[in-house]
Amino acid sequence: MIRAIASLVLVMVTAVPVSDLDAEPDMWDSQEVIVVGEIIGDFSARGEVVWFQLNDDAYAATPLPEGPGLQGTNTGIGVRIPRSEWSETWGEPGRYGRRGPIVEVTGTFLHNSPADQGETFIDGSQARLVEAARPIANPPASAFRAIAGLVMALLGIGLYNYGRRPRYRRRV
Amino acid sequence: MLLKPTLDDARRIAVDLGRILAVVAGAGLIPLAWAIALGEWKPAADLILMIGVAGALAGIAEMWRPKTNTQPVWGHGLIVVSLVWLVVPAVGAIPLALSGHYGDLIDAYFDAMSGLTTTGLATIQDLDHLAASTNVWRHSLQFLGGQGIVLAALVFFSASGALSLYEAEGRDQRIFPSVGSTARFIWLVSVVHGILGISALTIDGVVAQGFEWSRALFHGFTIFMAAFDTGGFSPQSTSVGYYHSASFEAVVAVLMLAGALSFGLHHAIWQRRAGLLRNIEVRTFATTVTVTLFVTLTGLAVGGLYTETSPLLRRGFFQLISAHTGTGFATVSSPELARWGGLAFAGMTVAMALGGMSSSTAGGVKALRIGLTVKSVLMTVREALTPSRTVISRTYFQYGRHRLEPDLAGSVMTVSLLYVALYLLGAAVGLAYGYGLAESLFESVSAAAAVGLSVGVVSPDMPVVLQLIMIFQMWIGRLEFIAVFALLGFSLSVVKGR
Repeated sequence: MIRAIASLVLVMVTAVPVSDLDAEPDMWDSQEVIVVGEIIGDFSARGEVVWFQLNDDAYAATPLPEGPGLQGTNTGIGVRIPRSEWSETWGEPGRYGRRGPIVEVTGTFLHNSPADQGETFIDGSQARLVEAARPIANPPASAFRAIAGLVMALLGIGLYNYGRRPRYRRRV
Repeated sequence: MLLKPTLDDARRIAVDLGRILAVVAGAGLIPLAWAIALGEWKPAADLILMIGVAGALAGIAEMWRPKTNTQPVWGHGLIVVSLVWLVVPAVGAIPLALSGHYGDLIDAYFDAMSGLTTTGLATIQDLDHLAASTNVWRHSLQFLGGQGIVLAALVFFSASGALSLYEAEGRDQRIFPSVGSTARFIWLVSVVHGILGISALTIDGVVAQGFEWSRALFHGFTIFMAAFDTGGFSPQSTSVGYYHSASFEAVVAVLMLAGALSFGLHHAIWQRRAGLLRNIEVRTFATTVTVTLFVTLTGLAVGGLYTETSPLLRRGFFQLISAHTGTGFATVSSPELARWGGLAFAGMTVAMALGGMSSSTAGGVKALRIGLTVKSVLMTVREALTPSRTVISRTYFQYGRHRLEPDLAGSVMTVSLLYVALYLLGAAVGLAYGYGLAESLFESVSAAAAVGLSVGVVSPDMPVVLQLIMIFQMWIGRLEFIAVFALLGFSLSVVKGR
């Protein structure tokens, strides 16, 4: 595990961080860049291209349940690659309970691209799988919380019905 | 002389509060079903705990019913509503705090308050790995808040004093003589928009974006709730920019605008009532949207961020509608939005401050107040400039002609000024923490007007005092001041009353 994380961190170090692209988009505009990160959310297959969100935040290297804890918000960028560069063997994108595939994308950073109705994204020409998607072991469900909740809910229903009983005497 | 509240007063408040918590418990069943369907067992247990806490509190409150069958008075409604909007976020924050995605309890409460007030500012971390069911709960909070959580309770419970509860929540238009019928109509409008909106977004997700249908439904469901209720939460960290789709943005823009229209206007449109364009509120909203859109687009064009017309119109229109309706969706990143600067930034800030229509899901000063304030000022100027014997008609048109009484003019101006003061309060605290004037004001207006756009001030690392001030801004801004003042008065009477 430590070796895998170390090699992943090494690959990510050689790439351009998305935060740099965000900070100085004009400097990077139309430049060829390499970005490495976790594919998140969904694959959006549109004709001959595939869009996806690539996060290169701390959670890409070390998923939240496996790491040292919370390390800020997500950072990522939209990526578009030719469909021929995409492979089903990468696995499903990252979500709850799954670390998405880590890929290295080589492409052109486009900032407010006029040809793409103002989209800011990486127009990828090559994509290489660094590490396939894998499940993340989330903490187990707390039986105590579930039972406590059920007991309180039942108690609430009982008290509610008891409280709703007629209490006022009608004056004749 | 202040009258000390009796124990029966407290019991009456507790009963109404409890019934609203029962609705919260019921609403928790939706994400719970989602969690069970997806096998998300840890979030399911957290949701059951939240449902249990809300249910138990509701039961205890019902047990504590007053011993005499007294009718609630105005003060009860105001106090109940102001308390509801403090207590429900605390209960609603339980599954958020237990999710492990929040740094501390204040962060979780901040997000729950942001959700319930349909603001959309967020301090959540690693949102992209959050359980779908917890995400659905965040969006359900927005839907409950946007519809008016008290309104939700009125559908299920024929509460006595319903009118005071209804109006205390910042709604001043009754569509039908009965509050219950009005509440049911509002829910009917929302359900119809829900069916159409979720269908349109899901179809766009499958056809235009190539999503799996189940994921398209998830995105459609969550984005609809945040768009129609002008909330602004998103299931992904990059908001609506995640979808890279102009058609998706167009559907979302329509839903945002529909959410910012008053439910009275929805009813009038359904009835095909004539003369709607003569309404002062419709005219004011159309005018402010047009003017702020023009200012924002001009600023963007001058700033040179978008060199072609199509991107300029797409980005500018979506962001402006998102700001003016108080939704807070973004198709550009926070650093990019901060770079807009100058005129575009000013246009966006003013649009956020103005907000949508009254009795809608939007926040801000509201179009009716703006229209009446402008009309009142213009009439006063006319009176000053014309001979003293000239009679000037002080009327306005809003579903019929009404007289603009000095009392009404005074109250709308007072509330408008209170909003300005609230905007300045947050900006001053932001400045005190070393943020720039423009970003402090932008973020303060965004919180107080329940918008949710951010240029980076709101984050998990933000100063706690600023975070608490923003929680206060979201709360008092959503309730439009009066209910909160009533709660303060009630608290004072507990201590000093006789």
